Amino acid sequence: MAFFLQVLCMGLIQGMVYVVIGLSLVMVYKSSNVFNFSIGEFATLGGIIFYLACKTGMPIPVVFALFIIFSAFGGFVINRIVIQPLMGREPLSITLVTIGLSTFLVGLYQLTFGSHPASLEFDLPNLTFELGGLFFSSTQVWSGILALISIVALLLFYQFTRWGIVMRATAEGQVKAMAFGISTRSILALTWALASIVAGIGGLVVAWGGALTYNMGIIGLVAIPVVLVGGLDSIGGCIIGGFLIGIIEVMTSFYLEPAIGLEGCRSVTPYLFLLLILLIRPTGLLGQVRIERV
Amino acid sequence: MLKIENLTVVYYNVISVLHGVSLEARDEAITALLGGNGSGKTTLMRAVSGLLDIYEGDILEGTIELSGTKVNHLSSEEITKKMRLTYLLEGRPLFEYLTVDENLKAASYCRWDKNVAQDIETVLGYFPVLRNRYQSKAGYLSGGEQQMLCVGMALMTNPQFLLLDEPSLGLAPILVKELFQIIEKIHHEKGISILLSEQNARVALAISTYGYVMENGRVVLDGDARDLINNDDIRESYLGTTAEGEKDYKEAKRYKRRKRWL
Repeated sequence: MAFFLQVLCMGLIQGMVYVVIGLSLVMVYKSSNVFNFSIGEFATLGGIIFYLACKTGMPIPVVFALFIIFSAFGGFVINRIVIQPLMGREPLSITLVTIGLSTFLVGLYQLTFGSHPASLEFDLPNLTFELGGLFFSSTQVWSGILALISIVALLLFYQFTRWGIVMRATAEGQVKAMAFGISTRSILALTWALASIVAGIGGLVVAWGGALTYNMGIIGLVAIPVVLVGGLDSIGGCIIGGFLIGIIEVMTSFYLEPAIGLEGCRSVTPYLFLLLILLIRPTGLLGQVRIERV
Repeated sequence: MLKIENLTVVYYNVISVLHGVSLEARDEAITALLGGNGSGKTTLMRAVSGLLDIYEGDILEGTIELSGTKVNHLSSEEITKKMRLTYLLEGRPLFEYLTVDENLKAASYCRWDKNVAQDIETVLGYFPVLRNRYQSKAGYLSGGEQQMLCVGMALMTNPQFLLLDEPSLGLAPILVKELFQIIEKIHHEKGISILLSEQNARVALAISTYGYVMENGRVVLDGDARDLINNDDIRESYLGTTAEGEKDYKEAKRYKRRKRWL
């Protein structure tokens, strides 16, 4: 039982990381119908920025502030150079551009950052958690906390702030928003900057648990079943999908892989699960069902 | 004052929609803009509010002046913020998945002053029905409530000048009457100048002071609202009556419309 709980909690922590990365995808998709295939590279960017900020040797809060500022700036610049010139075109063409952007960024990271893995090391209070048969390392606990904080903060931002409301409004119709004097251009820039921070936090947590490499953007692939399971345009669905995929993945690696002796099964099960969900509900679990007045 | 002179607009560089339209909408007045489908009313409003770009439209010739400033090439954002002109799009341009409250707040995004809460109260005062549905999603409101919310949202941008594009679209006659009464009340109490595009000539002319009739991208007739409502052509094309009384549908079909204007 303790083992099961342990595995379940590890799944939840893993899931939280997926939720964070997935939320970044959903934000961009909601406001511009663009599926950001370079999401993994946005995550890597966060990891790299944090690594560089750590190297300056400043205290942790300052490092975090730098991380947030520069991640946002990265998202902003990418939006300005790559996305904005294409505004008003088919969302599909922008989606395809993000595939190219992903390849470009991987190359750029390799050129500037190098091919050697680096590890993120910095001092945080030791929060190693041990109770009964449960054990979580300090890194795991901190990852969970960080992911949880960013999820809650993002949800509150979306629900209650002036910009959150307008971002949701713009997501429903850019022309309508423009007619009310909302600058959709700056709202989209804000969306990309925010999505970049959120993806960066995901990348940071991933790099923390493993190692920071120029091509760790592969993690972005897992975000695809996460958002599709939940429904591409649903924040709630993304949260559920993230946890489900996280738990399924960890459960597979602890129960299924030893049982049938197949290594690497864990990277397949999320997609099998996705197939199953899409067969039953093509819009995903909480995908937006169009409002119909009765 | 909104002053449009000799405005020529094309879409995709080839489809000519407005051919030299000139009109004036005076301050503190309601000006009606009548015309059938495809007569260019919406295009005219898009041109004024800076939304032509999105529809691949271009102003070839002519000027649009708002209170003496030329606004031909201002963006929609600048026109709402600086010139304080708001264009309420045709067909209930609200945000369906936002609540009434959030819709009103989203529409007030263009301003930074502290009176937003107070203005929401004012809007709810004009449209008490919205108060009961305040926390429900706008998509679930009835058609009448939605249109009222839209007018409320337009008010939240704190406009001096309001372009209303067929606000009566798809509403029951009794609701149209109620809506137009409220529009007139808003006009009087807030001193907002309104350019009102309508197919429902009777209600539009009833609350306006001056009117223009458009056809095929040209202004074909203009005059005081009171004169227009008695004009034979208007009566026949928009009100369905003639000087001799009701006209038979069969007859109307056979003789088409006699054109007296150029």
